[in-house]
Amino acid sequence: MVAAAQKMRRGRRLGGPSLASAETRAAYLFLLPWLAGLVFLLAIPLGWAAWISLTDEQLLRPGVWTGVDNYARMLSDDLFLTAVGVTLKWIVLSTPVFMIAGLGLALLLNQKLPGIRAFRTVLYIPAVLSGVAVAVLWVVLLNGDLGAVNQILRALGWSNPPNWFEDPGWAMPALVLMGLWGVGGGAIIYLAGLQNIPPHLYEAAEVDGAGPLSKFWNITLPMVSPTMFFVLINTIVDGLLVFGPIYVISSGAQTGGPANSLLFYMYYLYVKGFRDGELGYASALAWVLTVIGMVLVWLAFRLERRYVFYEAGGDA
Amino acid sequence: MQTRGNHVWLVSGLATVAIVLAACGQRPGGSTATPIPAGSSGASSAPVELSGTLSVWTYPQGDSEKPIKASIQAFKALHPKLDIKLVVIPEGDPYFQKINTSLQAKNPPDIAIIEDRSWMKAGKVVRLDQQYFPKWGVTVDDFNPGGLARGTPTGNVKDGIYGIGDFLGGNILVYNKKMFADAGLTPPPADRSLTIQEYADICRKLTKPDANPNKYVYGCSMPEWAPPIQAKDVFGPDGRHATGNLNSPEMVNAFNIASALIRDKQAPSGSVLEAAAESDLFASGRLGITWTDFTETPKYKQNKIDFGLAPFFVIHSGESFVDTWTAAWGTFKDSKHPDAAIEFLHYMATEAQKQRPTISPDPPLSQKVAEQVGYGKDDPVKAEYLQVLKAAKPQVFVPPGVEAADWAELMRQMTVEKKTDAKPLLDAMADKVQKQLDQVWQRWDKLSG
Repeated sequence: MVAAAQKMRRGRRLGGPSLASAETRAAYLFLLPWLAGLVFLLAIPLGWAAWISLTDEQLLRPGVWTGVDNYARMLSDDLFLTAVGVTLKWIVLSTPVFMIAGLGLALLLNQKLPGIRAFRTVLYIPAVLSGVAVAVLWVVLLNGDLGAVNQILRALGWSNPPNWFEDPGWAMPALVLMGLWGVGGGAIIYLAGLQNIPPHLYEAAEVDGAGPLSKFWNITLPMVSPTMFFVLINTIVDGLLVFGPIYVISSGAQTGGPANSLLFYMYYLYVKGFRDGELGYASALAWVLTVIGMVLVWLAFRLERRYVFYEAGGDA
Repeated sequence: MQTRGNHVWLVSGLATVAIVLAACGQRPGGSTATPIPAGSSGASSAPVELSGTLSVWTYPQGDSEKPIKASIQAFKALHPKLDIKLVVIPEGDPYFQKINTSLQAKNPPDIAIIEDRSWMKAGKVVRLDQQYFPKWGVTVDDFNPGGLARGTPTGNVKDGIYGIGDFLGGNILVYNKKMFADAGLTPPPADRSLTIQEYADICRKLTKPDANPNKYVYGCSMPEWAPPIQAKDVFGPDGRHATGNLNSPEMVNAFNIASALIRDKQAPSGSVLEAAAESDLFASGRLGITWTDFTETPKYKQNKIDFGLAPFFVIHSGESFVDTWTAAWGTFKDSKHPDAAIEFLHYMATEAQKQRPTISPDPPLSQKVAEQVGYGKDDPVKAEYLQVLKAAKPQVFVPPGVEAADWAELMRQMTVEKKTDAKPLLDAMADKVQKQLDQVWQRWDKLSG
């Protein structure tokens, strides 16, 4: 240490670069590509989007300054309010369903049974398939007249099964059904969390006479709560960004599904920006979505203090 | 240390440049056009020798895009140093967006189907009639006005021609002669449109229900866009008034008739059509009468369907209608290869007109060429098609973007939710559409080149 410090001082006296400043320079140089990406691929586009949200920029002609007109327009835009409602409804409906299903599946996959690895692989496969391909598949399966699901339901005695993606009351449940098929992805994350729970906690609980439910409630849930919180944040963000399946189901129409029951925010943003060419309004929509997302994530972090247990103690 | 520092600089610098280039995009290289030595021949071979790479974008044209590929091959034979890259983009949104984003990036394709009239109105597309038609030896009157109108910003050839197609397409009715004979029905006339009520009456007599959905025979098809197919019926003769037109008694009646056919399973529902298109059902003998594009007729012949043709049905009695169209090829002002692009369009306006009937059943867009090559003289189906096309008339122009006129949703409510009266639905739609119509006209008027 002393020798290094002396070496550094000698370096300064001789006028050459010190070891510390050379390493700092090297660090910044290695960071430079990422910083360039941050500036040119994120900061500048975000700034440009913020700017054009204050103009009436169109796809085919440049915009002029309009101030907050785009933001004011949202308050009287029925479709915007519908899109916000549909998206929030989806988040409220799908998040607990996907989280509970994912955790349940992970608990099953956490068993030490022969062939369990093969099950884990099979259940994860839908998560790696293309979203568009999955959507096309489910649109065919849930076809009201000819789809396999309704043919099975009719064979089981349900003479008038739902029209799924053609019925506003069933369209979102159909989407949840489609989403459940891909819940294996979340289950794998839960599985990692479950496998990190120290076994001695369960052993101690058994010694104290705890049953399966008690072990689950007092050990499994608290210990896996950080993982659940991570999945919660991801699910909320994914819910705000739903687009691909809606595009396929809507077949490119302006209305998102029957009676706009699937008019998700991102789909509406896409329609305004790239179909109607109203880039200024679409950018304003994008910024409002960002604020909505930030609020939801902030609310989730408020819940974290109360419901998430960190083994090391305190906040993560 | 000094050497390692240099390597760090080099790697970081290269990576940074790569990121910046990725963010800013690149421009492709250009092409060159060099004059051919004096004495070379004229019209079919271009006055300049072209080189480089021409990009041609299209959406699927049916028949694996054989006609445009044949035109490209023939044009390349005339210009051996020119390469042409054909890109096929899915029809609809994907096609519009690729072109829109390429226009934003000032890097559009050299040749494309000018599908969105906004591109013409915004001054992005090269006008052809004033400067180039005289050089090419063609006039506006040579071409079918209904088809040619697709290459204009407003449907009126006086506002300029910005795109030129090589064929005349028409949305017409095709019917199965045997099914009509078996049902004791008189075939529809080729020179007059059926009314929607007449069409529905025929439909009900042709339907043959079957418990097996794969054997069910539908009397007719009823797409949701069929009752409002004529823009004047929806937006008025000036294209600016939805209220009173979109919800007129005739339109209400038309949708009541149309939805009843689907509810009563005389016509296939949207769910059924997701599995098989109308032309496929017709070709397999499971549809008595349906709309078709003439390009599909070889499929019917191949399946040994004895068919006849008729104009599209109408909602007002006493009129006839056929919607004609073409794929209007044009070039953008920001094209990197303007000389080669204009020469390609020259080819499409002249030689491709003669080539087209040899490749597909459609007549050329040029009526003059159709007469020269004797289109339809030896083929009764083609002759019947020309007869039906006499009912063609240009559509009233309405700017793109009136999406509140959501016929699919209307038909869904009337068939899936079983609402039997279209009046309240059309009244509500008329209010929304009128507001949006006013906005799109405002937006259209602000667009200028």
